[in-house]
Amino acid sequence: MSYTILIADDSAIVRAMVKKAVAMAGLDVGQVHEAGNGKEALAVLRRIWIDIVFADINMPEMTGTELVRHMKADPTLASTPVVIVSSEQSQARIDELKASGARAYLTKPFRPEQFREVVENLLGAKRVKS
Amino acid sequence: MTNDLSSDLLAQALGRTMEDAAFVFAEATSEPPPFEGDVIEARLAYAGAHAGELLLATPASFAATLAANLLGEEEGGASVTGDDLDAVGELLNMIAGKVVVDLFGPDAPCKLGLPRVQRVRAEQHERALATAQAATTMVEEEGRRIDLSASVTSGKVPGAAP
Repeated sequence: MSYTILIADDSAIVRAMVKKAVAMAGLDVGQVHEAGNGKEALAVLRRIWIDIVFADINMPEMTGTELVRHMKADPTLASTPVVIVSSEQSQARIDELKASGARAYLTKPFRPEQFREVVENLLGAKRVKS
Repeated sequence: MTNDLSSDLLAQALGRTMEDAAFVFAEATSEPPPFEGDVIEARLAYAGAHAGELLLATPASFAATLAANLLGEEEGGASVTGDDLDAVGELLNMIAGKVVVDLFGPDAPCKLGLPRVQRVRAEQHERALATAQAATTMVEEEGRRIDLSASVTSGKVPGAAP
């Protein structure tokens, strides 16, 4: 069974970059859903089963940090892993995000193998294409 | 570790990000060629214990190449169309993440804002560049110019005289 993923970023080009990186990582990805901010992401999450979320921090309407907080407060979404994909490199900010419930952090610019590593760590390696 | 706000620091962050993210190899120049045609300007503010703004500028004609390179696609590809401005904004976002940490240290107490991107006339951009506290101009392999400038608006300016 393949992964269903959600990419939340206000930048269309970043959503395309993440989509491409995930495909190049050799992951068995089925459906890819996209959202332009945290609010839209939450709406998708409440409608569709998502295996893993890749979210930016800085988004209009609802940030990635707020998205994680809302998901943690919802028992049906609390266990869905969220990976923050951001340009922010401050260790203090990364620690703050992980403390709020984000499961991993990828810094832009990223490489496809970083996605594979994160997905293997969070969801297990069994669904990765050889 | 913190560093002084300087053109060298900006050149390092710009050159590195352009290489890593967009496969563009550029070198700093003290004799920048004039912009031909309009310029795409991206601005991004950061705020917290330190606040300020960064500005990235490229020729409008170069933005499509940057968008294609970010996606690893041929220029003019369907998924690239319309992403030109977005690409310049996103590159500045990546540069800003590096500059803030280089300036204020690995625990930089600042958050990055959203990039704002606009097309301006070359003269308008040159005036904005002249007011920056630090700036670098680089030229890529085909002679196209890329500017990065920075201003610190509150908190101590790293490297400034007391």
